[in-house]
Amino acid sequence: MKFKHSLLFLLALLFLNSCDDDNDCCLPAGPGDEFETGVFVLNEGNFGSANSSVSYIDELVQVNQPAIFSNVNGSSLGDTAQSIEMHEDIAIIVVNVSNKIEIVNRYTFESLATISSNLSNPRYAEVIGDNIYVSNWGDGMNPGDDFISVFKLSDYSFNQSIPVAEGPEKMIELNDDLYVAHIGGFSFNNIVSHIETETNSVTNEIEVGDRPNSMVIQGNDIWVLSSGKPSYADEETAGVLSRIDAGTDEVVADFQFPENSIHPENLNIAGGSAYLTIEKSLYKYDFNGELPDTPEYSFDEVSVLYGFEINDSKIYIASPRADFTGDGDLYIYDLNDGSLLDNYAVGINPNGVYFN
Amino acid sequence: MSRNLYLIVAFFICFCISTKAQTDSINWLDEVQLSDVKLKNNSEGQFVKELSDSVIKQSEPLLTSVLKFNSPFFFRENGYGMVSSASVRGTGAAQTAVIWNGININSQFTGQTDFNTINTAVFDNISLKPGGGSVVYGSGAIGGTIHLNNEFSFDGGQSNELRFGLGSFATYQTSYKGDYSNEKTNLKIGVSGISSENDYPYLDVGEKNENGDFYNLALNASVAHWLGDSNILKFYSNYYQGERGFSGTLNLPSNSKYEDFNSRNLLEWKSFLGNFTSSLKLAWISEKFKYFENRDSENFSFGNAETAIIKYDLAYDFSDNKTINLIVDYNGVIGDGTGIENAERQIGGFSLLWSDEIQDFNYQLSLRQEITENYDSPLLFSAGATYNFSKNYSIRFNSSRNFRIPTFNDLFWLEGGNTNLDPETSIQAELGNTLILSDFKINLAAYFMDIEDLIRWTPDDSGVWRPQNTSKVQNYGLEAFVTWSKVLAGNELNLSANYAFTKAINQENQNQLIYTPLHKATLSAGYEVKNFSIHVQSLYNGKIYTSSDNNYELDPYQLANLRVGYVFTSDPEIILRVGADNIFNENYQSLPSRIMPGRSYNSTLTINF
Repeated sequence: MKFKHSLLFLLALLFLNSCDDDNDCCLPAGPGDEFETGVFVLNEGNFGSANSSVSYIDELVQVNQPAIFSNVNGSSLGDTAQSIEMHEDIAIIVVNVSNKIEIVNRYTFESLATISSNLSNPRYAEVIGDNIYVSNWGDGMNPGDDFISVFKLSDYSFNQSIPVAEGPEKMIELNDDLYVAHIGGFSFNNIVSHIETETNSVTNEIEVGDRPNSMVIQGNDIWVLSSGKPSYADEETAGVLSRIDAGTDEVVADFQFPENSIHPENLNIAGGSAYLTIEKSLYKYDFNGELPDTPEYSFDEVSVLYGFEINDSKIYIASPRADFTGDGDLYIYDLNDGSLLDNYAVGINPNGVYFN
Repeated sequence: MSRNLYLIVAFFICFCISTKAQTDSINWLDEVQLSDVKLKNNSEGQFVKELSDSVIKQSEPLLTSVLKFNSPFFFRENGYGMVSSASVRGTGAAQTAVIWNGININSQFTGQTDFNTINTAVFDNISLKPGGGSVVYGSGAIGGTIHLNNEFSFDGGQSNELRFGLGSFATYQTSYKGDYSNEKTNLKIGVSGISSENDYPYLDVGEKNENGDFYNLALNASVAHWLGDSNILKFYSNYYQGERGFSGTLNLPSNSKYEDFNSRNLLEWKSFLGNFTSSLKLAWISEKFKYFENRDSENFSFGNAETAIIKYDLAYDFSDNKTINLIVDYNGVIGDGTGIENAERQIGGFSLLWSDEIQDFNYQLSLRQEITENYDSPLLFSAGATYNFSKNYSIRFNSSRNFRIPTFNDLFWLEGGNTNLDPETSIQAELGNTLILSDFKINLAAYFMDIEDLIRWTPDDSGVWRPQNTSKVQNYGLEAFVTWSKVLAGNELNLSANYAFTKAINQENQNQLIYTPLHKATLSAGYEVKNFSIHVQSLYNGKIYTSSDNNYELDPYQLANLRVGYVFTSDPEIILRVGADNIFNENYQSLPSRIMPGRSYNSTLTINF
């Protein structure tokens, strides 16, 4: 929907880290597999039109395949796909408006299961241990019905639901526990909640800036980027970068951007530095306590910066058309100098980029 | 409403007792009978198509159903009875104005009228006027105007019509229309209701339309009363209440609900003083809606807007052929709602209309300037002329500048509303001709319009959706209205056909605008033999693009409806009509994933007494 989301790089990063001591994910792809290496772009489509799709791009051989989910499975992906969580050999696709989750083999995109109950306005998924955690907004107008639903990874059956504060969005795993950024749904929120996975209960709500939109992990710290309240809010607020010590669940440092009109997003780590975007420009933060005040460079070709990932020294940006109809673009930039390396036409309203 | 109605009825029952012969009213016939004289007298160079009472009766009562089979306009529907908007000459939903008895009733929040929230059974006639009309009808009259009118007569008659209907998917309708007049007073009352479970199956996929149930109720009262010989008071009141589940789409379940409450009241005092005709109009319009995202919950979002209009119109006839009108008006609107606070707009307006007939040549010139604090208002004009070569052939030309003002949502929506918006403006011209060839009547028009400063909601650099005056569009096309009447085997056969060829080109990428077909055609035919009648309606909608890059489209479709009627007795007249809609069971969509009904059946019993 109209919310940016791109922490999935981080999830992918975590996943890659966990791969080091988990060979499952790196088993060679079997016969008939088509998507062993490459980039997936999730296209949310138009609200109410059930035309979400996934594009597959292999940069090495310049392959660009549209609509791989429906081509492989013969059925539509659904309405307004929001995000994908890659875990071992599966991809978990959260389809927001259809209130369902499609689980596919990430190398073949063959459907393994569809979860369509115990979800309400689902946003993101995260796997910890034997469970899939899914953030749900519930009714957009009801601040009191938001929850995290928990499904078993083994057979995708429903386990339980955990009531949480308003607007749970992106999630991240640290020390086998779940941290949830509460962007606030259709309203505004300013907390990160800590869910203990052993008991599946909320143990802490940590106050950060308004509208936390992305998180990364460095050591035992969680860095949370909040965009601040937008201009149409009762009071516009500046973005904040917060550092949470996961040992104590306390904010040990926070840095506020100097103007209330600055609303940063898309916190990523690459090569020991953090990167974030403000409007269509990239900023670099070296964990030295000083927020960047000048951009590295801008993405001039992008019409709407809707999905953003850094992978292998390259920046991938999913850009819908400005009027949110028709086919969007994937732009690939060199992280070092911001030069445009490549671009591909993708499906309707691309919102996220994922990697095999 | 009911209180209003009772008061009016009581008031006029008292006054009707003493009646007096009316004189000299013949010259003022139009002024007296019509609620919207300007539609007849100030549309020079343009074509006005009137849909007769019988066309309205042959159709389902929702305005979308009436117009999609009887006009060249394209309708975008979310499903039967769901949100529906018109595209006239390739323009957007907010660029067509719906005019109730001369008053623009487009929503203050969206700038458009939902054509499925107009129940037509309470009106006497519906007229279509393609082309600009902002000088007379205000904001939104760019593509065209659609007029819902009630008329008066003082023939001393009395008539009543009762109608009951039953159709597929548990669709029930009932209406009553009463008309009572003497030489001084005419009272008309209309009540109409429709309800439907609307759970039609989606063809070819085995699912059905869920959460699409709706009902609506419309009440209309209009009364005219002569005060002496040269003063007449007219009062019109319309009340509409509707509740709809918003149906889902193919892959999207829905549990939402929408409620509308609209009331419109108009009082007019008209005086005839020698060569002067003076008209004072007072109107009070209220629109309210409630939207429940989850119909089982108590949470809803809402909007309320109250509009007051005062309009004084003084006409002076220099001779039988030359007339000048001076109009001064005030329009005040206040609104509030979820996401909208303290929305207020006050507009003052001055108009000057001049019309002249020089033998076979008629022309009109009109100007209008509005003054408001909310935005800069352009000087609006209209210039039109008709030349009658003979009784059978005439040629006409009209050029106008029209506008669509920013809506309350555009200006005041808390999440992105932009108070710096300018109105959308259009400069347009059309050339038309009317040819009468024995039984044929052919109206053909070619038009061009250039629309600037289109208001579009797009995300800004920080991702906030905001309306901006960004796009520029040029529309051009052809429109044809053809009727043919012929007596065959002693009975009259009536044919009516409409066609529109529409180019609506975004000037940035030279692509056709989305949801705008190149071709739309309708054809209807009626034939009566003794007590039997048969009526066929059909339409063709060409393909539409669903994306601005024109990479995605919806298929064209053809629809046909059949009605058969039988008159049992003539006094009282009892007519039974049975029919089938979409007889070829076409699976069609006018918006993506919004599946429309397949074949359905309906029947109505009408009693006139």
